[in-house]
Amino acid sequence: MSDLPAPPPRPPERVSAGRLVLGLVILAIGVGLLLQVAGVTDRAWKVVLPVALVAVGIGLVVAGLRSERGQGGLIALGVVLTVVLTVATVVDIPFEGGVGDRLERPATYDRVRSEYRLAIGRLTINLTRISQLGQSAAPKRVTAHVGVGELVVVVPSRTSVDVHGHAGLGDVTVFGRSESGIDVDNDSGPPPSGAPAALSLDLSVGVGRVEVRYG
Amino acid sequence: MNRTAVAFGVFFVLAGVAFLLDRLGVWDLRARYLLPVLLIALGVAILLSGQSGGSSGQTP
Repeated sequence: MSDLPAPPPRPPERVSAGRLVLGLVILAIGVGLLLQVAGVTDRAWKVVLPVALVAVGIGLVVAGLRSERGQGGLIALGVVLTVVLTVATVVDIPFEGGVGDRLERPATYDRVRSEYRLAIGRLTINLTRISQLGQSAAPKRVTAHVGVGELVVVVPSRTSVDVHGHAGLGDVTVFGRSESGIDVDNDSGPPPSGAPAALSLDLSVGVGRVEVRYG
Repeated sequence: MNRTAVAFGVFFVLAGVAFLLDRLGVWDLRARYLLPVLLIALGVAILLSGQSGGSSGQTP
């Protein structure tokens, strides 16, 4: 027989706010990833990471107010999410459009697509074979995006062009005028006294280079 | 109160809301301002968390 006193009853275990949020966040990221891989939707995935970051923050505030210790894992997860979201905001990389070098050289006005996309590589859109530009009342609108790489658009000489060029990180050259850095915009429009724009280009790269020149 | 956790928590909530509004198209988060603002906010969070004295941020 032991003379030791009976141990005091254990207090009910309090669920750690940090651990609870960490589990929910990892679960949400997994579900978002699964939905994207399965091709169900990519819109949910867009908001999963910011919502996860908010949840991490709320979990940390609650844990902090309850004086819970050992929140290093949650802080590390928040830092990782912040870095990922920052990079994703600066560098808009589409997961569509393929990889490699691609040349688009439409032969007729009708074959000019309104949108071109490439994930990684060099995309060249050569419009010099199009002779009908400027014959329509409204400008022909073309949007092109490259995630990482180079986007080059060659337009017919003496064509009035309205250009908006953007690079998350890199260089944008429009008719010889260059801008470079982070979150770079370089716009060019037709001269106020000249002919209205026959072509409207909205061009962007996540990381890399945009160039518009006459052919 | 664990000030480290609270400071980082507030920072993450504000950053998460900003990213969420950007994703939903409500607010255009300009990348050129993003990095310096995040660094300033992170620095403030670290400074606030350091006021508690210890690395764990515990106060009696």
